Amino acid sequence: MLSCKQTIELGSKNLDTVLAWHQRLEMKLHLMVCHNCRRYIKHLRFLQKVIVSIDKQDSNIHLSEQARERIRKKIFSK
Amino acid sequence: MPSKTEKPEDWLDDYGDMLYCYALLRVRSEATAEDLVQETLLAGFQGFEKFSGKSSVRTWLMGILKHKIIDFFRKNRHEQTLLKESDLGEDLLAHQFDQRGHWSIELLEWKTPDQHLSNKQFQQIFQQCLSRLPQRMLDLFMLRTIDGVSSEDCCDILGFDSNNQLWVTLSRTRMRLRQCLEIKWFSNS
Repeated sequence: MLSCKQTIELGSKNLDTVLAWHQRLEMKLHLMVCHNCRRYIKHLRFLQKVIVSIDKQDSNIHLSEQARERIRKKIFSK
Repeated sequence: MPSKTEKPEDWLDDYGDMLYCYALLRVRSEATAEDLVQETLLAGFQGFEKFSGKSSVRTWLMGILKHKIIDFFRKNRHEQTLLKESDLGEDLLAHQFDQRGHWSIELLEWKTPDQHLSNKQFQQIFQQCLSRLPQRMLDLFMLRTIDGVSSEDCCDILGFDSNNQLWVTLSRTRMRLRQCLEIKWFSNS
């Protein structure tokens, strides 16, 4: 049986790559009996959602007028 | 054919902020982000002849910027500070798990998490949590999870020795973010 620590590392790895079948099985077995790990995995999925949504937000970051001028000079002088 | 309404001389006004914002979120230096926007626009001017018009100019310019950012990371690989044991959250592990690797804390249930996504305060807290991460962890997290750069390329760009090291780092990054959000947001909300 996997420990919780091993399970959550696999849970994270599962977001980045395809796990081997035995790893998936071991993870599932552990999750069946461990509510804390189930929560953790849910939280990880939520984090992924947040990071994607943060990236898509209309942001209030703008090029300053000075920066815009500097860029304009450089790109139009070539 | 590229649309006639897209005049390269308007790109700075039309897409400058978008490109800058994207770059700044990743390189975290205003000067570098500004340079990247400039290089992207220049490359766009030079390549516009070859632009097929299959995608929008916006998407096309973003594609150029992504390559420029990756090049930037690759060039500066040797200047990046290596992660220390403490960055990987060994102390956090010790706090959360007992010696057999079982939880020694009770995780909170995050109620209706999706509702928080559009909350401005939540977004600020999340940004704070991101900014507490060591630079290299954040670079990796952004490249891998938002930009979808492959594990192999991430290793190459950021100078990780192996995929395994990469996965462990990503796992610890998420652990730190999770912990930060739980403490700063979910335990108060």
